[in-house]
Amino acid sequence: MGEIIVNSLGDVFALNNLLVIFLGVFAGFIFGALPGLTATMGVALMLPITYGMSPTLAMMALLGMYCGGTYGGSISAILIRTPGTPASAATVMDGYALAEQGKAADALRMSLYASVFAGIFSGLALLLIAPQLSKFALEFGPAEFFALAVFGLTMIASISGDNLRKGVIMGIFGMFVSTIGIDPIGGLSRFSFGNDELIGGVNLIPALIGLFAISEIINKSRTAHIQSKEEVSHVKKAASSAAAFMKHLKTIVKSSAIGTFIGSIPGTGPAIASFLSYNEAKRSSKHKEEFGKGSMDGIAAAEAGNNGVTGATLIPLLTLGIPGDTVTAVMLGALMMQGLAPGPQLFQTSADMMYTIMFGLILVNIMMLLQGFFAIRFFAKIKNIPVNMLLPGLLILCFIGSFAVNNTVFDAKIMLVFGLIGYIAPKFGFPVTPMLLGIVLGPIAETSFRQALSVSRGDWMIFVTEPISLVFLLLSLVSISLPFIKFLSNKKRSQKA
Amino acid sequence: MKKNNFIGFIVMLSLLFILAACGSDSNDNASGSNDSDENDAGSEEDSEQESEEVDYPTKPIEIVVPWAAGGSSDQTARALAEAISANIDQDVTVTNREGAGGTIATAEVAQTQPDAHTILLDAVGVFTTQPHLKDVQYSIDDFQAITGLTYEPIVLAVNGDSEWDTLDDLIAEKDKGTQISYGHSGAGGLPDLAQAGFFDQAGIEAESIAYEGQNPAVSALLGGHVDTIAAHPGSIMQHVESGDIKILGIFSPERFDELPDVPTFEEKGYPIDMSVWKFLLVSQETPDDVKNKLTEIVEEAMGSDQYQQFLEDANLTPMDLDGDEVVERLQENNEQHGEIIENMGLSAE
Repeated sequence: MGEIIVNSLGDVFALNNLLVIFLGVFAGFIFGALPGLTATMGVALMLPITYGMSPTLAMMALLGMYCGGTYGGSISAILIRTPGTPASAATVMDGYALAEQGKAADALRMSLYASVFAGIFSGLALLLIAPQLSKFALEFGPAEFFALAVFGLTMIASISGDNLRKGVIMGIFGMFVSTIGIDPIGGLSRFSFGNDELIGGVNLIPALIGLFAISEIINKSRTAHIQSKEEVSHVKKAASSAAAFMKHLKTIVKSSAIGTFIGSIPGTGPAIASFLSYNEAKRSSKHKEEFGKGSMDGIAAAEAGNNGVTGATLIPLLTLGIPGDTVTAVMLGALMMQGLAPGPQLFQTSADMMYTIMFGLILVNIMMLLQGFFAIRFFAKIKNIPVNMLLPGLLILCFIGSFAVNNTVFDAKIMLVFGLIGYIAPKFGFPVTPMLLGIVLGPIAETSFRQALSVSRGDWMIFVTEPISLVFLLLSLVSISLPFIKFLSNKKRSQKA
Repeated sequence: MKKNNFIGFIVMLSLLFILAACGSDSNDNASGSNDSDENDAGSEEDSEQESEEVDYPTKPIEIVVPWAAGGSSDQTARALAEAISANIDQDVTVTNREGAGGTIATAEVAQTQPDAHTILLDAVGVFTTQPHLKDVQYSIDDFQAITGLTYEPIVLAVNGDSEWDTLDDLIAEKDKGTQISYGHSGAGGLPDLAQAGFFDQAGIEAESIAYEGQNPAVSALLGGHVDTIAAHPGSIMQHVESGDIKILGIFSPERFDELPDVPTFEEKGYPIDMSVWKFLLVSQETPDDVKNKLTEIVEEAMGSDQYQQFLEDANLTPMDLDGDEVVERLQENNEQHGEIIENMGLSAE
């Protein structure tokens, strides 16, 4: 055992491994940062290239792309208010606010540190407690998933901004949108109006690009003719980074743990993890009012949350052979093509390779830190691009991105529709982030709810007799009622005074 | 500020270039559908001989896969694409066009009737179950089959801790009033139909639990949230070897070479034949000489060591059928599957 680990450590640092990781992370940054191109897409595109490589080399390339892409999403979220991937949607609110205050470089750096820390954290979890975590993840049946989704939906309260009522309306609207297409349980089509394309449902990526990127492009283009005299010179000025990092260490550790936990459960994903972490950071923060208006803590939480997922999704993949999301499904394909079927047996037959992959994941994150350092300087220049040149380029990227999800123009149309929603709704005080949350969590909530009732044959008690489910439902209850309790106690206090 | 403009412009330009490079990799929908006009020259020689002279392919060949990247269909298409492009002068690309159980991509090809440079990879259910479940805008008459590709049997599996060790144990539950929950990859899919058919014939009360895809169903079985699942053996063999999952029976007419001890349902008196097999299609309007040439190219690629090695690595069994046999078998399966769907009350009509 000890020998295997020492050998794997040696293998990881082979020059070709380092080179492949370098290229993977670099490509990941680009895929993540460009709106519409996601880490998932990058990994899928990279797959055929890896067929000719050795299994470890192939995994290094894919992991580099995956981690780089998950971090890269925050770059565009912070700089141009368009999350490159769904996982960075929680970063937008605070990231862009900070960029507007001229603290883009600080925000980018914080996001980098948080991402790298969380990546290494989850890599260590994979190395040390993967079997235990995967056993726990299997406990998640339909009732547990439903309770988790409900808990997730209570986050609408913390991302709605000033108007909770309108936030809830948008969240429900998002959940409604997610019901379009084939019903996951019965196999019948809903709200498709006989349209072949709508039967496939509304894809998350075009909806995301529309809600955030297109709406922002419309907003910006309204003022594009005004020559702004202001020089964006603050991008280079950054506070002492080590001190900033230490200040948010507690949030980062907590969010990394949340990300790792969520990531180890198949079928969840980085978007949910980043929202949960953001929510928790806001709940425990002493400066709640800063959240949504440029909180460093918010960025640290969201980014640590989504990158904590990266290592953890490998847990069900490597220990059980079950991919938790599309990225790991592609990785499973890559390993299968190499003649290796991940699962309990692989740890016995190819233990050295397994450990090389795990150490590789940690190395990928270190590479991300080094590359990120230079990439930030480069990317921060985007702020210097005049709006009249930036917008057309962005628009092209948006169209290409949403087309490329499924090679269909229909998705580009979906993007435009959501662009209009994203542009108009905020004008009337309806925030769009809860809508995204609804689209992400709606299908999980619906499917698992109906599965649970099928399993229990209609007995509603299944949601409270399963302990994990009960815990999450209680947490949701607390999360909803806490603001009211506070409100009441404040009222009492003010009456006494 | 001038300098900043310039740098900004370069940044944007380079990003766009990178994108363009990525784009061309996955979607080569280049226009020019009339390239095969010259093939109309009607000579009546032996097709074998003539196909040598057919001017095909004249541009990159695109294999359309109606499922997501990374799945077994996608892997098969990519392995085949690589094997084909080794033998011809043109590139072969794979386009994933996911959605609605494969029906969207299939309908698209059926409606646009592209020339033979677009090949559609499809699976049996698209033609035998989907048309019974909903209105679809295609039928097998819109296509010509090139060849069968792969065959994946479906097995019935239970958790390693389950009290049922053999199929007989499960069948014996008949009159005990046991309620079974069975998991599968999606409503109306073959694993759903196979189990529904079996429990119905065996007189066991069973509730269907639909998951989105095979993997969630397997984890539900591992976690003990359902009693049985039906799945492809390739993805669960790991767990069978580690003792976490037991395979009780196989929904094929004959036993599977790799699982010689697993009985078929037919042996036990439940004649259910359900397995997923895949094949290649081209537009109905493809001229015979082009089709023959394409068949020749594909068969050569399928015979290559490279492709054979892939099949072995990916646990896939080749499906040795020619174009006409594919259509024939589809029609057979269509009747059988349609009947089960009707019995289940899922039928669209």
